[in-house]
Amino acid sequence: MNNSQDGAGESAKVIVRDMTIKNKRGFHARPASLVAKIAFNFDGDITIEKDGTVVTAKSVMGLLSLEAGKGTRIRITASGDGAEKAVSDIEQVLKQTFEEL
Amino acid sequence: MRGAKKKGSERSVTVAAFLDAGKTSFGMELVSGKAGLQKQILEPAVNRPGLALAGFFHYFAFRRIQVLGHAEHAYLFSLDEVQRANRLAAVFERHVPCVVVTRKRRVLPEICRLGDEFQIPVLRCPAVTGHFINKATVLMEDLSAPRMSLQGTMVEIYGIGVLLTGPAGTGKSETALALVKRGHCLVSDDVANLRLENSGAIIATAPDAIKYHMEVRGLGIIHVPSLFGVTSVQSSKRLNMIVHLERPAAERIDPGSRKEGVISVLGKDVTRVVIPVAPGRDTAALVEVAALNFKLKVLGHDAAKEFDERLIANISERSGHE
Repeated sequence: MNNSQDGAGESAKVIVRDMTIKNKRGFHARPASLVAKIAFNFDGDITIEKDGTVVTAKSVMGLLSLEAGKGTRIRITASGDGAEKAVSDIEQVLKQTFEEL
Repeated sequence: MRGAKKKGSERSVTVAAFLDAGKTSFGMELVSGKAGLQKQILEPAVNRPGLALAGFFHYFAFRRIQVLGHAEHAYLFSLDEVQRANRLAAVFERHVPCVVVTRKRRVLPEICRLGDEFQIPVLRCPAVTGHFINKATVLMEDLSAPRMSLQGTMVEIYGIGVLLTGPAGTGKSETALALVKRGHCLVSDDVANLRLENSGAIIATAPDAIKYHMEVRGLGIIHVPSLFGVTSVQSSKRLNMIVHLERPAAERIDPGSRKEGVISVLGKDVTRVVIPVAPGRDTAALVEVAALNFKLKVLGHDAAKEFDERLIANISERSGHE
């Protein structure tokens, strides 16, 4: 369920990945802060989209404002050096279920 | 500008969205015609189809919400059954978006049937017709208003609505926190939902999920009114200016550097001031002064321009003496 699109040049490479929120309690404060941390340490642009609303993944408040519950489909878009790694790191975080909370 | 954006064109409103909003704000409910809930309300206004019921269809505002109140019902009851059914059918045949029966009256069985037949939702509302029209008009304006969301922290400073923008990590939230500590108000942290009103004003609000909260690095999420009191927050505020925080490329900030301009938000020009952020600079004080300076300009004073004009006048006067 993922596709990567090649832009014009190496630096313009845009990574787009669709995924579904698996965790029972949705995209709450803890996963949001972990995602924001990964995104913040990545220099390029990185956004998460839900139902047409796009927010930067670098902001905890932005991510929380999506109110993405279990089963919500989201799209991660990143461009710049290391975009591929940032997106897969975020994907890893979102695959966790955070059941310990 | 960097940041999250949602397309800001005029929005079309479905009957379902109108019903949903009307449910909470004035107890509206669906009676029949459920299959038509995805119909678009092409004109965000309300029409009383009195003339149409009388058989006059020139200039019939069929794109609007049709409301059947006391007067319309009184007229319908004055007709015999066959005529009544024909007249009502003629309105439904025009593919109106929906029909609303006010005053919580029992909906005539033929209206229910026509709703299902033409797949036009028939709604009921407890309010009297006048109140319904007022409320529905305001609601429709709100629902159809162009909107977008921007990455930025919205604050109110001395009555001026300021949106702080800038890349992640430039200290938007920290600046807002310092402003709140100085007695100003937070509207929304890091995401601002903007809506263009008919008057041309852009209104900023916080997404419900994060309303009144802030995320401050090193502290986590804080609830602003609990810490700073109810006067420290505001639920919505008109956007007057944008202050863009920017980390300068060079370590030192050039004297005389001043960037001011306008950017287009939802098709309206908004003043935008760029403030370089650097360690040791009191960003909150700078933003506060930027807001005050904006207010001064609105009042008709451009301090920098007036200063320069006076200086030029003084210089030319002096050189004239020699």
